[in-house]
Amino acid sequence: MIHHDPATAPARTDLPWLRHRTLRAAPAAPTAPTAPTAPTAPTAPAVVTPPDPLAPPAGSSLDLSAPPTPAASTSLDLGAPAAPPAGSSLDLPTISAGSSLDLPPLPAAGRPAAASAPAPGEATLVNRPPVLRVVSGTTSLLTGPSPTVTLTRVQSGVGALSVQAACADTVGDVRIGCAYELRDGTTSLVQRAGSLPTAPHTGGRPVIRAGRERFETLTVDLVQVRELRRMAVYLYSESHEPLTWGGTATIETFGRSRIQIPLDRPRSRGVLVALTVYNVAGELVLRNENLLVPGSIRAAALAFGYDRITWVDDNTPLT
Amino acid sequence: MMAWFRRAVPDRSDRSRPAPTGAPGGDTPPALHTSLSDVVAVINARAGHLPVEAVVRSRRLTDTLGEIVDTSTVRPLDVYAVIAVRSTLDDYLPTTLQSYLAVDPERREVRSGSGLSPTDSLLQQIDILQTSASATLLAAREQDANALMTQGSFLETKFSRSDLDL
Amino acid sequence: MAAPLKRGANVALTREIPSLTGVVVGVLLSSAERVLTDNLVVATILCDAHSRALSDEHFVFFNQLSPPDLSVTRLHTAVGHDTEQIEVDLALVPPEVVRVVVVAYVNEGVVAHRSLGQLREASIRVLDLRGNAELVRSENLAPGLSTETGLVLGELYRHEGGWKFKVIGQGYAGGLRAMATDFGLSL
Repeated sequence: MIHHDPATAPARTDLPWLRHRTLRAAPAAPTAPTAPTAPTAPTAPAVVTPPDPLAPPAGSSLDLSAPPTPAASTSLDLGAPAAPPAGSSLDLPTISAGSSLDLPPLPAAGRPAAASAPAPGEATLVNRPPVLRVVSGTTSLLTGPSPTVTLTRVQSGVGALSVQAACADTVGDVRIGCAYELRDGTTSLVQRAGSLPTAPHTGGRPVIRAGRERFETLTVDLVQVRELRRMAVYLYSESHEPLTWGGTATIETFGRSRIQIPLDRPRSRGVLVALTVYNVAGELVLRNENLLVPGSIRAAALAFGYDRITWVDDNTPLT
Repeated sequence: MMAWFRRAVPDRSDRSRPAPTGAPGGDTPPALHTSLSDVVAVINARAGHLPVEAVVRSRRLTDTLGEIVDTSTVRPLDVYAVIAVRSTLDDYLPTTLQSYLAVDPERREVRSGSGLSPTDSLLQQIDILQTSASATLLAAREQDANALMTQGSFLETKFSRSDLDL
Repeated sequence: MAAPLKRGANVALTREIPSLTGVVVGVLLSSAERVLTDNLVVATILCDAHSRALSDEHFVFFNQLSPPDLSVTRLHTAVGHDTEQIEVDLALVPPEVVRVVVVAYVNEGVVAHRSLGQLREASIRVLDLRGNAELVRSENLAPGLSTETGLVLGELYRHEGGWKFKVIGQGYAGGLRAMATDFGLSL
């Protein structure tokens, strides 16, 4: 798997005078940035489990198999100005091209400055909360009031990102793993336990690998960051016993920034999803999820939308 | 539990359903936090079918809504702040996401005559909600009643048009 | 064709070819070590007059770059044996960009014990953007490398209203971290 195809790189529009050419790209799957096709479903898993309570009920209004209604497309396909959105440009604050909704103007006195509907073609500043960054060599804490941090494209693309569960023995038999989805739609788990040491499972160049240094560690090879769409890191008890939660999940960048997620919570059974990582146009967005999912690894994966993994049992993917 | 998806229910003529502000659970900060957790759970559960950017922006929006609710630790929530949070959680955000999920995956990146794809429009709509939520948070912190009311009517105008309904 | 440029040598591109509007900088890195080549990254650092990056976003590499406006077929013809090429429209370079520095490094963190000393060839050349004719080529810089994991290959830079190209060939034992320090980049 080679990864340097400029055609699939996070595009930038600010440097029209500088362009990269290379043939290092593999004959990759056709680009399907947001809707990777589901892998062909293998034969039914050996064990069938009841639907997870956290997953949306089958046949609900969210059922994707429902045919698109014309009204749905209308609502998302509004008479907006032709300028492309600025979502893929370099950084915030991002200028949004016009309003997507062709609404009648509000009375002038009632128009909030930050959110007034612009005339077609007029740019509006989207009022987003500030994006928190990390600085080389420093330690940041992800907690309730500030649960996310965004790595720059440089920080997201150099060296490796390591995630380790720094837990004392008193916590119990805590193990670390992650559910992941790659750009080509490949999705499964990585963990040392259960012979799932790499993502993807085959090939000589894993994007994510599980290992153990002082503590169990997941390592993301950032020279292949473009292959990673998202991942959710979880902690669990190998023996399915309750864990006396404590310690810290620590993420470290190549620039030696440390990002820490405290794991304190009452003694409990279940799978703790500590961290999610989303690759947004080349920037890795890290979030302290701090969600204890009562039940299996499968339930934890489903709670974060890893619903294309096929399972042998509630804790073991088929792949 | 799925009451806040009421707009997705085929029978749109059913006006007996509670208005957003009267949704089950009420308007107390704990009730709003419960609704918030429900919406976060749905965003996460559908993350495999939404653009990653939409997941991240939606979660940022729910962060901001949580911050609005948390201003109640300093002073009681203004009724317009409650309406803004309730309607975003019960209706505007779920409806926006659900409208997108109803679009055929093959068409999500296809630009229409307007130059926008459904994915572009989804991100824009989340941005509109974020901009309004940020303004509401600021107004709640500054106890600016006028600004709070404005945000409420702004969202209502933006998101209550019939063409957003399914 | 002129003799290859040695380390430190430079050529006045736009003085030699006044009609030159754009160039392609080609980098050739080759090694029998697949693990090395898989983890080699070519990057361009857009610098001020003091060889400091204008910002972190001026570190242009695979995770933040612009694709060329070339069909796949034309790309195959144009790239030839080069590992990577960088197209530069000289007339459109913003004035604050004074130096366009081309570097290569071994991405560290997952693989260990790989260094640029395992390269068989490391060279940089400049082509005319119109027609891809080779204008100048460096000597093979690989024989001078041993345990380094970073290499500044060469640079385009403004000089008396025009553009020059210089072969640098400076290795960095400290790899990308050391280069980042020198160029003022945050990792």
